[in-house]
Amino acid sequence: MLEATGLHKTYPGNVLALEDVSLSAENGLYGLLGPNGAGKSTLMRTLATLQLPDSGTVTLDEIDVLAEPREARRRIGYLPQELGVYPRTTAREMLEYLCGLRELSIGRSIRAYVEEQLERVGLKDVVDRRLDTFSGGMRQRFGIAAAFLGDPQLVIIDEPTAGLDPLQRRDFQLMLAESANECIVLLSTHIVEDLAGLCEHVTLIDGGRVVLSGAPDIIEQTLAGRVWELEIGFDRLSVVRDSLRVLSWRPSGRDLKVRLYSEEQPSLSKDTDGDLRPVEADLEDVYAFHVEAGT
Amino acid sequence: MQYRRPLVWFCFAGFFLLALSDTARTGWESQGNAWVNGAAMVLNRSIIYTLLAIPIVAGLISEPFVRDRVCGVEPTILTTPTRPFRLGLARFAAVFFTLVTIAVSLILGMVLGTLVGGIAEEVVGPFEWEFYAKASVFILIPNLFFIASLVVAVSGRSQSRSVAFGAAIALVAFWITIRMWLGRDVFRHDWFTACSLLDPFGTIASSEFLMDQTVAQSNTNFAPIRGLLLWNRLIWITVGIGLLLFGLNSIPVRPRISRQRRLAASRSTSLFPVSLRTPLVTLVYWELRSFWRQPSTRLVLGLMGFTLWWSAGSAVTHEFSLPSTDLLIHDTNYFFGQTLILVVAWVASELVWRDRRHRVHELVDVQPTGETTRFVAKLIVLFGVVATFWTLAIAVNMVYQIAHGYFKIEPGLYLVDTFIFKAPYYLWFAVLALSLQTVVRHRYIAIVLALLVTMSEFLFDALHWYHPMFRYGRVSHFWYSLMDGYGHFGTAHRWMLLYWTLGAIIVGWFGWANFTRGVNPPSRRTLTRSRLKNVGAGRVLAFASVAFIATGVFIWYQSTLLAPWPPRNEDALNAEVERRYGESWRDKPQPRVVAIRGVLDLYPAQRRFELSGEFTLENQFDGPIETLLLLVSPGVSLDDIAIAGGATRLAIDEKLAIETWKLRRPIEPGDSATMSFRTSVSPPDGFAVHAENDRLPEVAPVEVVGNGTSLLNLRIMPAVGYTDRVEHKPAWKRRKYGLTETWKPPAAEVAAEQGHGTIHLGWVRSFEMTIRTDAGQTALHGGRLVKAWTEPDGRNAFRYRFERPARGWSNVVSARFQERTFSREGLPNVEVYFDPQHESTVDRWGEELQDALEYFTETYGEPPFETFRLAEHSLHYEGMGSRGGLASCSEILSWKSDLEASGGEDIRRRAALMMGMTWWGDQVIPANTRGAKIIHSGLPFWSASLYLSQARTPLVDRSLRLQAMQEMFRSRGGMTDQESPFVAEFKDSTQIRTKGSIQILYLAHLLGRERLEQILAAFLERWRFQGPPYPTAVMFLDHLKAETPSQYHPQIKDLFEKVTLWRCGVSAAECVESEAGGFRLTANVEARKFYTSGWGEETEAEFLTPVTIAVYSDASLSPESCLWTEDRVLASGTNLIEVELEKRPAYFAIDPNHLLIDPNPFDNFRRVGG
Repeated sequence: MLEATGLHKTYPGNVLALEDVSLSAENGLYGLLGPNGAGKSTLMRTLATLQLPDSGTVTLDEIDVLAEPREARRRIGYLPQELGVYPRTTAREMLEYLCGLRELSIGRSIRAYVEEQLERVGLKDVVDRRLDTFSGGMRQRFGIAAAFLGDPQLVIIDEPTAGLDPLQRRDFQLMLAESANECIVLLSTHIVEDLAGLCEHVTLIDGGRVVLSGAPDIIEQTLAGRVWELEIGFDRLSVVRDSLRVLSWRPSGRDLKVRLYSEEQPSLSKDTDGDLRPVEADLEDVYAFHVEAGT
Repeated sequence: MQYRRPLVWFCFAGFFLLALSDTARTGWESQGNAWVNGAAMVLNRSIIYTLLAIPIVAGLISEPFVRDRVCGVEPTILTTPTRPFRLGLARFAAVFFTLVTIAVSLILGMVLGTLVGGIAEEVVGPFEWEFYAKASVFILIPNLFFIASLVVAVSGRSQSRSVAFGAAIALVAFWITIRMWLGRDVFRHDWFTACSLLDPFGTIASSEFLMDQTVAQSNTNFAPIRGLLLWNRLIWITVGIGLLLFGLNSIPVRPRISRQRRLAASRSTSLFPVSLRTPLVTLVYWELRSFWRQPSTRLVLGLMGFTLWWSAGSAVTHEFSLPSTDLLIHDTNYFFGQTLILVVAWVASELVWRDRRHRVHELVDVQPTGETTRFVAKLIVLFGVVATFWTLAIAVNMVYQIAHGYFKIEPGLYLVDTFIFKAPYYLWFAVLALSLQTVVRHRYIAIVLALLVTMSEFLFDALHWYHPMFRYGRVSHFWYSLMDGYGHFGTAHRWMLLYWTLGAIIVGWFGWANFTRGVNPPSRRTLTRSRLKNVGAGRVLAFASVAFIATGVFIWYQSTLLAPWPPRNEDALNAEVERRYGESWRDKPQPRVVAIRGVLDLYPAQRRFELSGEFTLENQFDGPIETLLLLVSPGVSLDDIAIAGGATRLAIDEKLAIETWKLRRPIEPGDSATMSFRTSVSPPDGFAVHAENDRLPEVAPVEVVGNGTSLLNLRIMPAVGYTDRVEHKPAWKRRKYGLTETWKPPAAEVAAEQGHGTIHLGWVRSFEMTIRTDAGQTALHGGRLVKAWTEPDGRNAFRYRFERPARGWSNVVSARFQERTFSREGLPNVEVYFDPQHESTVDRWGEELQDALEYFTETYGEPPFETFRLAEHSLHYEGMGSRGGLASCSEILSWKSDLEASGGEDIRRRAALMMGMTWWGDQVIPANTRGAKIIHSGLPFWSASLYLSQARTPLVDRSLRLQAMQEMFRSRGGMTDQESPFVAEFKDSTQIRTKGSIQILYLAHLLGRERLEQILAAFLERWRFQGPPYPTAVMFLDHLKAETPSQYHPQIKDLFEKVTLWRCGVSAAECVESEAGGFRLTANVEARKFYTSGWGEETEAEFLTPVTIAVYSDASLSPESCLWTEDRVLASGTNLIEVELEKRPAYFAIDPNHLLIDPNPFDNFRRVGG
């Protein structure tokens, strides 16, 4: 079980990155949602032992992660936001190298183990190909393999789908879902799509603080009955935004479908007249509602 | 943007300080009159600074070309409409402007360095902005441009800093290779033009002009930009432009994508078996493999191998030596070290920053491997790099040996010398370089700081802080001796090894303490404190610090209090002797030693000796002698003095080792008295730590070594009376020690009664010495071996006695020798005592000594010895000497000669010199007056030169003379004293030996060799065992003129009474067929003559010198190919020569045999046109 309590971090220049952040997680897929600069990466690095907070505690299965980082690292897998590769190094070599660093006692051929790991992420055919020739998706899959080496208890994945196409993104989500059965997978992203329907628990973070935390359906319920969809022409968006709280919008043919937040059915003026109907709140609405409120 | 980089400002400051401190250091250390702001100095320094700047330029220039990729803005930049070429050009221009600013910093430092206090006035000339401007325009900026262009060419395409640095290191290796090609001690002149043009920095090309410049000319004449230097500059600027264009055109127009071949499956290499796979092993293996896979690593290793090969080739140009192991390892360290320092500094930075550069640091950092393991792994990798390079050096040297048919490979010596004596410095430097990276946290500043640590030695030299305790990683310095091995030097080395190992542990500890992972690491202070909280780590630091300090204190106590090194400043002591005793004792009559008897106990294993001796002192003056002044060499203890008739010691000056004695009964004129004494030298209680750059010999001249001792007997016995040998002659040295500026030779009437160099000795009528030495060793001394026996304690004993008047001097040699005797009818035997490892040249030595002996006997009469002995001594002592029929020659001189390469010429030359030295030195005492060096040094060398000129083939003779002339002129700009005409020379023998040996051949050409030999033989006959009054140079010249037709007297004057040089050359040579069917040759020859004075100011004089003009049918210029020759007295300027020939000529030459001293002898011949 991962337990983080009262994490606080301020960068030089009095830049607040984390303010009294607490979270706890058990086996399963956990999402950490927040806009850029919200403090997600700081939190991820802190949990991954790559950075020390100014205050707070982190424990992982009763191991004090901050005091005993080495012990913790044996139980942590990490896929950083930016995953580079060494030149002139194959996937197999890199994974074998990481196996060596993790001191894995797998009791069988490391070669076979590495091949198995790569097969899990669909890279079996390219085990001996140089990593610097991999596409973005292949690299991410390789990163997943690296993060899950040695069956860690906590896997931290920071902004995993940046640069992936929709298909790759779905593959990636599938892979995570499969892998998250016996460990805690902490997935950090600012893309709501990555978490929707995937995570059992989502924490929304903004401005260094935890804004909301819970199961996606429960936090979606916090906006139940207050989200509306309005179909208007493109040119009327600004007018609508002036008078109503717009959560999101997306094109729909020649019009825009705008999602609104309102405690009651909003009354539309002549300028904002359109097809208005209530809709069920989703995670993106919650995200937009809180992030906008924060900003 | 460049000026926002701390590294850039750091470079400005660093180069400014480098130039400032280096100029100041040069000024402080300067001897003679070479100006620190003189033309040659500014030129040379500019070249050196550009060489030092190579790695910095690589760092600065590559940055804008790899920046976009590293910072991830490449797509943004490349999608702008700006063409990559223009973008690259703009960036290059910006960085090049930075380089120009660095050049300005250097110039500023050089200029301000001349203003630093403590620099002697005579070594700072008037400020000439023109020198600095020329150095900047022709050397500094073009060199920086070329380096920058090369870096652009490789980094523009590869966008890799590693490749840029690899290219920089390769450039250094290339430059070293070119220097090696040219040769070290002896230039391969036939390669000079090629090497000049291939050297990218103009070092060799500029030396074409500098090599024949006098001190005065070097100060004022900046190398003209013409000839080789012009071509060199043009070539490399053009190459630079080409590289720049190539580099700019290679800048990718789109983000770099993997080439197709990379997509093909690579072959993975598996790590170690599971059982061995600890994180440490994994990390080390991984890093080493990564480095091996880098193209730049292979490039550098390949080029290093190439350089090492040529380094080995250049090493053997020293004395045409066989490629012996000791020679190659020494030479390897000399050139290889600089490149290895760069490599280590760069690899250390890569180890720390590579993960971050490839953006894998977070993935790696999150692994459970501990900081200690990771830091140690990086250290091991660096050690591995050092070991790899040294192993490569060993391998290349071994292959070189085998390829050249030398099979006496000594793997043990390679390993010990490399990994015990040489490599530790680089290992400690590796610790420093890595630790600086983690502590400084800025890659390039850490590199520069690491390099500054190595360069700080320049400053320490200037401050005379030679002790290696102050120099990071340096250990006690000495040369490996084939005879004596590591001898007694090992103790100091072991302690210094311990000292710097502890020092490196401390440095490494701080490196480790500041090594961290992740981003936003805590401050250094926080990190260090947190590490100190770890009990084990704290203890390690505490223990290492205490042990380091304790070891330092112990070494300091041992090496400066118990065994100070240098043991004493002999120059300062000598100055003190002159100051205190010169005035009162210089002209005071003192008895001469006319008989010597002694028993010398040598204990080589204990490195000590005891000498019990007895002098017979004779009053050869008109008045009674009542007081005696006794001097001994520094370091020698003088005891048990007993003088017949009784004497009382008046005073003892313990610091200067001088005693004055009052005789109870004065020695009356013509009378004599005996004086017994005991001298001894023991090694100090402590151990001496030697420095590399202190310019001191490794052992004091009175020290005994384990095997291969060579002592001059005069140094281990007391001298009676004051001697001007202690007096400093060069003006700069006198000023330095606070003596009156101008040294004055003794008055003529006094000087005629004094023997030059051995004032206290007359002709020694009885001279017997018994020497006992360790079992297994043979002791040698001049004179006849009367008896040899073994003492009851197993020590070997030898008694030598001179059977004729002697100079009283001899070498004393003791070593584990093998001996071989050479006999030839009618001649004394020649015995060669040699180290068993040098057996290959012994027969040649014997043969050449016999040939020389035969010549000297036939030419100059009976030899002054019964047996001639040649002994080998350790390289710790001076090179060569020959006295009393015993010659002693260092193990590094000719004993390892490659007879095939050298033709045995070096052995022949030394054999001739040995005979010349003993023939003249043992039979004639020169008066102690101006010109004494003519008889003291000139005649031995000149007679040897006359012998050699007929013993060699004409072509070999000419080529060796040409080489000697070049070497002579190469050293001209570095003379530390003004050159005097031979007839006035009292202080220095160098020119009389080298230049005189050529000039005497010109005289032989005029007079005929045999006639000249007769004249010299007559002079020898006249003065053999004669005096006082002793012969002077004036007497010799009078004798020479009396025996010479008056028409040659002007030439004799030019040769002996003036400092003369000739500038001859052929400016044109054309040939047409004549109507009579023959060939009509017309040539213009240039003929000029100069007298030099002072520091080398030249004044032109009328040429009026008979000189040979010759026409040859081919390029060999051999006597057989000579079609026509004639001696003519040419006028100054251009002379038109017309010759009718029967055969078509190929070459026209003036002074074809190089008998006139000519700074540029290579224009003496010209291919005939038409």
